[in-house]
Amino acid sequence: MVVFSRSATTTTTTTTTYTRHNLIRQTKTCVGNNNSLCYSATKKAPPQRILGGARGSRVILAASPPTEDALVATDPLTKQDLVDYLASGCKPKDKWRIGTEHEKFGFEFGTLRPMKYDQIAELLNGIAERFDWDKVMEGDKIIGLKQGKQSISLEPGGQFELSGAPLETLHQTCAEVNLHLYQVKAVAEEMGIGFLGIGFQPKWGIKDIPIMPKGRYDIMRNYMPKVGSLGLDMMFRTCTVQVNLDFSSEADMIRKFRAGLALQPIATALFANSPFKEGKPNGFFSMRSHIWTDTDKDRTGMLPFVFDDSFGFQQYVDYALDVPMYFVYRKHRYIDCTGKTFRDFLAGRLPCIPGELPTLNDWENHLTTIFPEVRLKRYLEMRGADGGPWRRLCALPAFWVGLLYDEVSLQSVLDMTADWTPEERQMLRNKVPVTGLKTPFRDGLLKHVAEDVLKLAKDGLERRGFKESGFLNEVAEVVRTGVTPAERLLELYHGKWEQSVLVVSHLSFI
Amino acid sequence: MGSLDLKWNSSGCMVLRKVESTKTKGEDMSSLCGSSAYLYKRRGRRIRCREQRVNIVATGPAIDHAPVIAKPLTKDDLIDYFVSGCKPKHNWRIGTEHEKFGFELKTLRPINYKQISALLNRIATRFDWEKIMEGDNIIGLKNGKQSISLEPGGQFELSGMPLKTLHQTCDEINSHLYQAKTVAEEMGIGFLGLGFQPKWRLEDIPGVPKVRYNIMQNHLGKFGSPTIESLFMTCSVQVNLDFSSEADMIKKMRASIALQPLAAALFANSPFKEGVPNGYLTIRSHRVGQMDKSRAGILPFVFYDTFGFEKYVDYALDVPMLFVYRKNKYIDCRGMSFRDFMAGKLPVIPGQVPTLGDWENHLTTIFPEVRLKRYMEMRGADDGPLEMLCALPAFWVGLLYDEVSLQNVLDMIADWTPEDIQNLRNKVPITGLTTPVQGRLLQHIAEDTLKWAKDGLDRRCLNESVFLDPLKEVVGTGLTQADKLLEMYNNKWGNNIDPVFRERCY
Repeated sequence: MVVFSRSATTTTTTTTTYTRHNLIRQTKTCVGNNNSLCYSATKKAPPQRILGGARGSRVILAASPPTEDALVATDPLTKQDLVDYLASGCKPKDKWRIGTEHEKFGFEFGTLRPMKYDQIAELLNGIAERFDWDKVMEGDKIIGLKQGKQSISLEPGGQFELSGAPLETLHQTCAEVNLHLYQVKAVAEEMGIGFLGIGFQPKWGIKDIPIMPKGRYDIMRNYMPKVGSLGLDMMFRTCTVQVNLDFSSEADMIRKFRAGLALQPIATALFANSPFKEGKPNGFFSMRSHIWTDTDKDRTGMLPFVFDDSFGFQQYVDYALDVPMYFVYRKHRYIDCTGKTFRDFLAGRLPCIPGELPTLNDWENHLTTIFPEVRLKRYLEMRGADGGPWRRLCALPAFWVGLLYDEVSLQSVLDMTADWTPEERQMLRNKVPVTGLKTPFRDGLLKHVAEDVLKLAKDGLERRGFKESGFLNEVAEVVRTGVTPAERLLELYHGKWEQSVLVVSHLSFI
Repeated sequence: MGSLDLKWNSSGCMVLRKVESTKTKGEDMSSLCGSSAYLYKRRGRRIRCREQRVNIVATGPAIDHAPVIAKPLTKDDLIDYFVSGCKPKHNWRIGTEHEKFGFELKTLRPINYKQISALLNRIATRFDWEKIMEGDNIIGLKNGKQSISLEPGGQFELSGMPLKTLHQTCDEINSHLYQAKTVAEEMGIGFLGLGFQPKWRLEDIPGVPKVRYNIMQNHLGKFGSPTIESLFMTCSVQVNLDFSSEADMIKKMRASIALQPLAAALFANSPFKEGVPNGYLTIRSHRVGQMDKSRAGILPFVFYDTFGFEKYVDYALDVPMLFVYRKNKYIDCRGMSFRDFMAGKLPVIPGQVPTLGDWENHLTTIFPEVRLKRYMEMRGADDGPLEMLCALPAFWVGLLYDEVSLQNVLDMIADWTPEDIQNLRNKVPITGLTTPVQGRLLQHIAEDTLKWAKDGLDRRCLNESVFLDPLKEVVGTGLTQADKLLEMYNNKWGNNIDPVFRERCY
């Protein structure tokens, strides 16, 4: 691992050297602001100013204990270091991977009540013992598991999450989800526990949901109500499926970010799966999506600036620097830093730890506390979909890989959305949770846009040559009928289930 | 990453513990099996069991000898081959194999080699398996210590790797089925979990282009249709288990051979032939029992006081050979024995004497109810649904990997004669759990045995006895899979066989 000096003069020199190195070796021209760099590996791994291995940040994805600095940086971080952190995610197309994460609600078979921490701990220990996972501890409490590049973690309300390994094909992704569900089911069944694939807790109130003993959640739980009315709902009662995808350059990142943000409401509609709250219909198709609109406007949303001509890595850094912080992790403790920004931290002005300056690990941790519809790290996270049953967990990565990993489809998406205004994007974002594919858009319905988008996704997958388009079948059915999963559930609720929430048998993975 | 090791803790329970990976090449077995033990050496390097096991278990291409042996094999070398399988209890593993019929979803016809070939190639591409070729024909796949292979009638087989716990075993089967189904679905193919082909005749079943199967078919055909049907129309599930010493091997062989008919009854799942009930609960078991008697059966000599590794070698030496594999070719050796080969008297390769690789190959052409190699193979059960594929290793691990349960079995069968066992073996395919044995019904013996299996698993302290639940139901109701299928055939299906393909599709 190469650690470079961060003095201003040397940094400039190093920057120049990098630029020459990469421009010479890259097969593609690196187009972007002068202040940003793209690293591409051709003959050797690019230098990284990150402590830890490649994708070390996946530990953070897992919501495992935040990375703590093992080494003390010799020079304070500069803004350029923060930009370079994001830029270091650039990789050539043949190294692009698919990382899928999904959450699910655990419940007791007899009572349908949410799992308590004791049950989750037993479940985690059972899985670790039987299937050879390493335990992730916070003090003496087990809070997750790791196996290779996969991890299992807990969200604030005990939502049980698999963060998958970076994989090459959708077949591998789907096999990974299948194997995980099998392992969880094998242990959970003996404990009388099942898992629910849905986007929002259909039956129980917040007061009924046990809180997971993780330090960072205490801080979040105290802060959330100050900045929005639905933050606690987001923390405790939602389940998402997301896919993490790579980019080859800043220009590629920009294109994917714009396409991802513009189409995120369509993904929300296609995967809408949270129509119930406390045992009754809640008026939404995706309550989960609605909740994010009033969680914390400082750290969520559709990021209009991404569509500005000036957007690049630096602009995302500028945005993140001004998102209020939650915590800093020091000596195995979470220190509440709410109310201050990372920009303050860069200047050594955090009252909670006076005079201290951030490390790159602090930056990584901070980035995980920002929740836009598409999040940028050293890859992009597509965050707009409800959790659902197994086949739909496989469909989400297929949807985005088809659109974003194929140049033709990506360009078609960009052409299609080029004249969408920020107001239109926001309107979709606000309306889709209620009206789904029936949301009026321009001269027609969102359903018609979805038809075009789905075709682009299918074509994109076919051009990959891995015979992966079968994974879109679940979504194709939604588009064809115009009926989202949520609407199917509502139909069952009003009909067969006689207005009782029997989603357990319908959506349980067991 | 450290590996898991099974150790006994102070309370007598087996616990999973992380240990540092050893850097030793292979295992030093000289201290394990008494002073008489030594390992066959090839150019000074030990043959490592796991490497050998993969080849043998996979039924991949036969082993061709690369180096020329400096000295001819002796009978002691053959015996020592088995002795080298001895390993301490904490190194015992569970290796499960299961077969399944592939069929076209639309026509229900058996899949042909072209379809199997496409299936293998796609699984290889998508899930990163290595192809095993025989000339230009793909005949299997390998992934670490797992392998996929083809049986003579295109039966698609997973040979699992040696694993420590039943959880891992069931996990492995589930993963394999997921991968096979994912690819097969796209090709309009399904897999059937039954012990015998329920609808199609022998002539409807395409063969697979493996030379050794042509030789087997030519040779074994003279023993009548049961033998051919055993090769082409049956699917079984088996578990491979270890032993710690010759004495332990003897005990396990006796217990498992005596109870193999019980396993056949519990797992009975082949009541149909050519579209109609065939009068058996497990026709697979019946057909295997009718095979070439020189290489099949319950091995009465195992129960004699003189039995040991040497007696098994004597038995195998006189089983007629099928082939020798030389220079990537199978040479038909029918009619001669390995004993002849040891004396250099094979007319097809005059003057040549065998290598240890030849001995390994020969052992795979012997089909007793329990087969001995460097481990033991429990071969008496029909293929079935996933929960039954997981139940079979649980049954045998519970009985044979726990000393108390093993001793209970031995006490129970102590006064069973080889004739009793043969009689049971002959009757079980028809009368299943209602077969009388020594004045009791087999169902009652099943109750006792299942309890010992459960207790044996409980004493392993790995929470594995849940895998026996499907068997508890069989014993509790007296109804096997076969009984249930017959009931559906006679009622719900209106005497039509086709629904069985949907009912028993993985």
